[in-house]
Amino acid sequence: MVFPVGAVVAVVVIALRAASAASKNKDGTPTPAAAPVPVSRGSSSFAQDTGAAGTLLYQLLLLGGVSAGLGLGVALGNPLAFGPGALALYLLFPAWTGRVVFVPLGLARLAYLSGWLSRVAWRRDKPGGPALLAAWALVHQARPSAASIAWVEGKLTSSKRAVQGSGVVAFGLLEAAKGNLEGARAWLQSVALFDPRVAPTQVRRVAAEWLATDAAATGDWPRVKALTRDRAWPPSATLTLLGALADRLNGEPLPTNAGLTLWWLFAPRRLWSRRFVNEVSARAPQKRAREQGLPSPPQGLDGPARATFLTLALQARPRPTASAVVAVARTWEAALGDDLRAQLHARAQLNGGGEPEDAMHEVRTLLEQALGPLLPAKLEGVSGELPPLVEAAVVARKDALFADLEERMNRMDARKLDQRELPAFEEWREVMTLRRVYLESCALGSEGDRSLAFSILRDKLVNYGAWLYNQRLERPIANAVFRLLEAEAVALGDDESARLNKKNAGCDL
Amino acid sequence: MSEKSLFLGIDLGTTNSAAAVFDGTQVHLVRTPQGTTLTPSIVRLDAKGSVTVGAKARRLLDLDPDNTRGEFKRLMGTGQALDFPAAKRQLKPEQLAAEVLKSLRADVQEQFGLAPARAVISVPALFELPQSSATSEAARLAGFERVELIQEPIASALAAGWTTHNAAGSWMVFDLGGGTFDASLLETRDGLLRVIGHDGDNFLGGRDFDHVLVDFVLETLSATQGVRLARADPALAAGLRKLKLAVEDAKIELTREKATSVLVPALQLGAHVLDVDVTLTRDDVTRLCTPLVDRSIAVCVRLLRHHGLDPGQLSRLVLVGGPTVMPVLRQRLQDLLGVTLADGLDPMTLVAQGAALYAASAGLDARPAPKLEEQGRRIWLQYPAMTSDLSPHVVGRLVEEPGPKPVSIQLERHDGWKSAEAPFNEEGAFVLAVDVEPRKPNEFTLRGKTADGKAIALKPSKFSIVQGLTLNDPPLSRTLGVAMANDRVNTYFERGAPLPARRTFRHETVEALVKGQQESVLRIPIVQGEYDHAHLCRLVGALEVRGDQLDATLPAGSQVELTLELDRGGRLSARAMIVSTTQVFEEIAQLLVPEATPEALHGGLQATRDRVTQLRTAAFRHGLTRHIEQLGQVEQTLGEVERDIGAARGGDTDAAQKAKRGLLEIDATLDQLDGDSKFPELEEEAVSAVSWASSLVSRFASPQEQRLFDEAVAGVEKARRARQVHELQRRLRQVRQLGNAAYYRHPDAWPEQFEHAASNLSSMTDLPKAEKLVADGRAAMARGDTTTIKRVTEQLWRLAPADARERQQGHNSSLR
Amino acid sequence: MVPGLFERIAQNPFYVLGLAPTASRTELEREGSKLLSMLQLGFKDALTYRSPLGEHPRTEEAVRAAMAELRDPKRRLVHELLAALPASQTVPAAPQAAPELKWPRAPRVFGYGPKREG
Repeated sequence: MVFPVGAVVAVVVIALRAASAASKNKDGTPTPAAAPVPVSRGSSSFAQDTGAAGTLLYQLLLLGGVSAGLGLGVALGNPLAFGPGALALYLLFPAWTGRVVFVPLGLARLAYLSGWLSRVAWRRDKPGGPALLAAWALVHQARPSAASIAWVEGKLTSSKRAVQGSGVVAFGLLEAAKGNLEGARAWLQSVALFDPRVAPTQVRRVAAEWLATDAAATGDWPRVKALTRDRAWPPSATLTLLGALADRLNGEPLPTNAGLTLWWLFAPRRLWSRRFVNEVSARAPQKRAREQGLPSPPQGLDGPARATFLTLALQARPRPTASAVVAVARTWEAALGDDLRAQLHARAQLNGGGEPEDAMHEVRTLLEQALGPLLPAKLEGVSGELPPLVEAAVVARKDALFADLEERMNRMDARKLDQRELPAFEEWREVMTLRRVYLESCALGSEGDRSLAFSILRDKLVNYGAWLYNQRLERPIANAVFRLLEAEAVALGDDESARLNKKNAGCDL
Repeated sequence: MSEKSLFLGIDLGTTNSAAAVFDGTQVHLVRTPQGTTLTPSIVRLDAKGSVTVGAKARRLLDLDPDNTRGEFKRLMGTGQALDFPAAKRQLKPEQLAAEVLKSLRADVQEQFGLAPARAVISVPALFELPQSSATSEAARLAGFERVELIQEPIASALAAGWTTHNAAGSWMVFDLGGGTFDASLLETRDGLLRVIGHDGDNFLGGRDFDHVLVDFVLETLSATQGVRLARADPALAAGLRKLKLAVEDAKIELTREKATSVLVPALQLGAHVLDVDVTLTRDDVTRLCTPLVDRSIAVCVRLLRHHGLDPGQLSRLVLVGGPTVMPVLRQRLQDLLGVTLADGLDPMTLVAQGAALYAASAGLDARPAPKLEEQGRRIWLQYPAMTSDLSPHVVGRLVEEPGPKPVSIQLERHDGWKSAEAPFNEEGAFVLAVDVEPRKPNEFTLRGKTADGKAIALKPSKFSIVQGLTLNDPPLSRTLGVAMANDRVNTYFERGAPLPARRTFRHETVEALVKGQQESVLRIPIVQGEYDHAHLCRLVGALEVRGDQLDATLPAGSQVELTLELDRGGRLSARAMIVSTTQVFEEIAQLLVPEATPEALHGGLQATRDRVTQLRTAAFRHGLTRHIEQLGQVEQTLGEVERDIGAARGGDTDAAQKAKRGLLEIDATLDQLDGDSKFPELEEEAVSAVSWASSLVSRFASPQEQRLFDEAVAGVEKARRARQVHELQRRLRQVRQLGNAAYYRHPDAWPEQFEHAASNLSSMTDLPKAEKLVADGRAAMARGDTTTIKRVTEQLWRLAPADARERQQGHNSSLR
Repeated sequence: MVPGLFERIAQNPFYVLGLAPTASRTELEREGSKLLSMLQLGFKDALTYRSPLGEHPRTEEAVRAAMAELRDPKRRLVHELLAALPASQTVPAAPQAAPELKWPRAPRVFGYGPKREG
């Protein structure tokens, strides 16, 4: 006779779930305030840990099941008799099994089930945790079916519970599964903004490792290094190995080959990574090739023709340097001179109309708008005074960025006032986009730009966060909003805003 | 049936319509059975449902005004149906226009022996898409297979240009209609006609000239007969109609005589019955009408100046419209603009003649049946039916079919001139340049040769090209674009763009569109107008995508590829593709002139008045005399708008539309004035905000906050020096924000805010609760309990009505 | 999203019509109407045009718009300035990022997805 492990486990799981549900809903915690019109409301707390005693009892029961099952298997000598023992073992370590078995095999639904059964790493977030495992499994498939992606996405978006870090990572991995790597990067990067209480180490590690392997795949080793240095991400053997490889490929003398081998030994999946690590070890440390200059225009091109040639060449570069942009602008400044004016004047006479000055002005405007986006965020390595075209391009770019930031913030604010709610993941996406535009505005780097950009978000974004917290009950993402505002306010010395956001960020999750 | 091509042009006018036919050499006017060239645009429907059009219908306008309708052109595109109680039917404006077109079509058939299938119809220069598409619809209803539209001033210039040789230089078309005035500046160079610009006055027309004369007669009557009569009095309407007719007759008589009498015996004017006998002299008319004429001339001068021209540089002035026959107007035009008037042109039919000429340049042969059945190898030919070029290209291609093939081709003109001999290339195609004789039709014969040098018959064997002044493609009358969420317009086609046209742009959505949510809507408003701001342009259609039609949720910033397409008749189609899912949406939600209710118009009028007052105050403060002057003009126009709104209340839809346009134009003027005076205003604001915040920050802020504030003030200064409006506005907000933070640390701040909130008690959303809070607050004030005051004030704020929202200006667009 | 400099260059009317910026009014009209005729009859030669940014499809709408743009002397002057570079003059493509630095198998190696393409 076989011991009914399954039935016993089921009963225990149900009992513990009931116990955990009963311990929810405690009132009277402080709530976030908005500025300048603060909001407060009675609130409920939803995520409480199950009692430690319950977990222990559950685990002991399963352990008993495992030993009984294994014993039975050995005693009967029948391989089938190991079944119940293996099941109990799986139930004892479901997330681990999911991670090492189902995820690499790309079995999304089984991975989801494993996450759902887990009581350890994913306990604070369902369906985010299980969905993370499922999405991770999908990422392993060469061509995941739209149906399975939709299935996992459905699990995530149909949930009434607040979005947490694991949900965000799951959403990001789904983007990767869909082939939208740019989107996946943004989502996974954003999990660093969450409070560790709602984005545990295991969850962050998945995000960090994905980001680092993605950067390695594209050859962006400085970014790999930056990821391993960032305190927002937990340490991991994989990250350490990638960081070491990055050092070598970025031209650092350390680590030595021995060091590299050591990190390789610590990291998982050594067989797979051996060849690449050997290749890097064999390569002498080298500085990265400097960016090549623009191609020289063919003979006989001068004035606007030459300047146009250089502009088109510049535009073809993936990331032109500031000095290259400035050089092209100078060519234009020289071309748009008196000679051209006289030439255009003659043409206008021949054509029966047209204003040389207007035409040159229009071309200048077009150039300003075209050069702005080509300029790197910071103008480094430029000698001498900036040509007026670049000056104007910088102003135009700043104006465009700030106008964009204002428009987005105002829209978000208007939506909040109209109570036009978006699904929680879309709300978070809006925050991510706003943050991206904010960072771009700050990156302009001239004196006072960062505080000006912050002044645009300062009050409206707190209000939005308070709305997410109080009305939408999306506390983890609201908390992330407060945290990022607090960090900025502290960095800028805006004591008033820092105080308010610190208080808000301290509210219960 | 005629062997020659015939090209039909129709002027579908507000009061009169006319048609003309061009046969390649000459323009012939189409005559009605009564022998006149004008068909009154009036339609009558009797109890049996039979339709009467034109002069016969006009005679019944007075006897049976309920079943006889005129001036329906103004309602084109509004979708508003007109009642014919006797027949118990309702007809849309385009159905009525179709009746007029049918009548003209019948006249053409009578005179030329063929029912025309294709034609060109003229539309006012500023017709919008819904109006244009209603005109095309009318033509379809009237039995035309294909029509193209041309703007009236272009048609007039084309007709005027056709009749004169060496018509190079700048022209002006002065079109004074019954209710509106349009001036168009055109240019001819190298035989091509080009529109340079338009201007006009929507509130000036022949009717205004009649009104001043009627007013004069009424004043004289009041003075001599001791009765008080006002034109605005609705009780006088029937009598005034009669009086107006008498005045019109007198006006016409005065073009020949020095003086005449307005005679209406026993005229019933409301409660009074009067024998009207008022003497009207030519001097009276000159004195009364000169201000109106000057208004129109001012528009012309403005148009010329805008394009950098002086009146002296005009080579010709073409007059169009009935009222332009007035001697006072002609004299004054010559005096003030110093330009010779184009002679020998009939202002009443010039537009129709131009439309016929345009039909030729568009190759729109009116003959319905295919040409005579010919024998020979079939060939597709492309050539300009009418061209200004003296050596245009003829392009052809053999139709794929079995049988002997020509290897080369030559074109021979009717007078024996021969083109080069061109071989057919591997695609079976050829390109040949031909010489044409200026200003006449040139007939060419196709001569094909086979490989062995034998002649081979080709089908068609002949074609003809007319050389003369042309206009290649029908131009778009108003700039068409898509309104963006920030109230800007993304222009797709500029005014004057050649039709047909198609253009695609990529936009981004500004808000997330959630799959499955019906209330989540992506709105793409399509607007027409010459302004950068969408709210000043007119909404002519909209494409809407609802969440429940979507394949996937679209986050904000999703790309949408939008294609707008206009066919030669000006019909619009739009296609939006969601780039990420390649889902396509094509249905345009509306294509009607938006309705204008008198209430909404009145609201708009009030708002505009308030704005004028504000701007006037600002203008006085900054001593901007030019602004004060312009505001004076705006106020005058506002008076006219108000009158139109009054008429709109009485059910005059046309007046409502006119008022709406008027308000939009005023809005545009005010926006411009606003922009001009913005910077000094803003600077002033900045100075006062900085001084207000400085004292608060220095007293109540931390050193770090003080540093932040100093940075902001430096930013204000920098933006002021560089005159960067947006940057200054942003800096100003930052300064206020920091000042505010400091303000709330002031011990009096919360009591002050409490008092302010308490003073708005009556507008609170939950009055009993608010009253209780105010009582609590008062008690706390007495105790000096700041914490409670703060808590109470914050709670009061929450009871205040939701923040006033900015006007949804950009036609509620979801794109950027 | 007003067309920027690069769109303006790619869609320059002179390139669309295949003419030099010095072409006369008559030449423009003649070439334009010839191209329209050729497009209507589906001539292969007429289906594309060159700009320094490469080969682009030529449509009837584009030809018509190009003719209209060049009829206005004011607009024409700007187009002349933007068509200074002959259409035949293509710009060399930018060098690609160093391929030896890429490790497309990295996600596969550490369990984060399949090997990346190119």
